[in-house]
Amino acid sequence: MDKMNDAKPWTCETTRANMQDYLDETLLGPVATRLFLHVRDCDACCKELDEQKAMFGMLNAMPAIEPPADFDEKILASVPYAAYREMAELRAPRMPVILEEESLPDFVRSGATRAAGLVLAAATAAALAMSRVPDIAVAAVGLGLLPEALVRVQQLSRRIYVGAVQRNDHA
Amino acid sequence: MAMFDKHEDLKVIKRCKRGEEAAFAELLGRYRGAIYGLCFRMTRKSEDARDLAQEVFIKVFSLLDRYDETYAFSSWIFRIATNHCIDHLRRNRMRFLSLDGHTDKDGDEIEFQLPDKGPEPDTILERSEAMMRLEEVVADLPPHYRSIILLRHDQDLSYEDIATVLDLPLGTVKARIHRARNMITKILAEREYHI
Ligand SMILES: [Zn+2]
Repeated sequence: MDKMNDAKPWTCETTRANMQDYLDETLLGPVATRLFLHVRDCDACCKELDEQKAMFGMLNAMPAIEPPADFDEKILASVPYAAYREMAELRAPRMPVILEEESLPDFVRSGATRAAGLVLAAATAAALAMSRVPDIAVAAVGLGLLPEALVRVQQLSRRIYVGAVQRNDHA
Repeated sequence: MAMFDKHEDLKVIKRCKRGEEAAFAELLGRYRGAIYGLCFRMTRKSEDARDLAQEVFIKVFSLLDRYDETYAFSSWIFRIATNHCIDHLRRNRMRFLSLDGHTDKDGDEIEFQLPDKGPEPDTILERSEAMMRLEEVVADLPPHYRSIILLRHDQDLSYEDIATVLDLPLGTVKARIHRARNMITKILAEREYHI
């Protein structure tokens, strides 16, 4: 199409040769304009273009054909759903071990340890506020908070990780 | 005419790959009309079309793990469907060995298929005489020309998409579509059909 430079005369033959591209709207602008101007003034090409246009229009409008009612059943019954599920499990990214609950020792995770830690931290903090204990007791506050903090940080990280994996899956 | 949304397809396919039954039904719902329509217009027999289209879906749904997501799913399923129909027609034709088999310079068969008994009664819907004639002419094109016309006009695929579906260079696709349309014009004139 871009071989058509302006120097060459535009004939009925060039019009016919470019008519399909014109109707497909793939002709370059200036070429399309030359074709349009020729067709405007040439009865034979005008008639030809009208016929082609009608044919294109009808080809584009061929009626949809619906499959029979029982079409889906056989297909959906053939799908190896279980195999896909197994494959998906194998493919699923493993959660980093450090985010699994079991990676924290049982005594850290136990409710008793966490509660005792919180009581220790609260008591020491109160004593500190009233200056009844030396400043070094700040360490005891930290130690008391540690089990609860570890469990919570791990929970939060796990939630963020799972969320990221799910978002990635749906992208 | 249909438009296929590549990104929506990918989302459903991800769910299919996890074995979600509803996702397969959804993917089937998106393509059942297009694939059945293509198979029907390629064979013009509703029973053959049903079998072929079902086989296409069964194949695609069992091979989803091998689908390369860099290409549109629509291109992949249309490729499988087109090849399946053309193989079927070729197998059937072997039984009626043609007397005057010619091939043109591209190796395409250029002899026209013998017209069938005509469309089956259940496919005669409300449509104009002109449309019925045009559909008849499309159905009488040689398979490679018929499929390319259907991909372009019935499925509304771009030249680029058709090149991917048929694994042909863009220039060949364009030349073949042009030739197919010229054949339609010629047959319409020969049969004195006015549309
Ligand atoms: Zn002219």
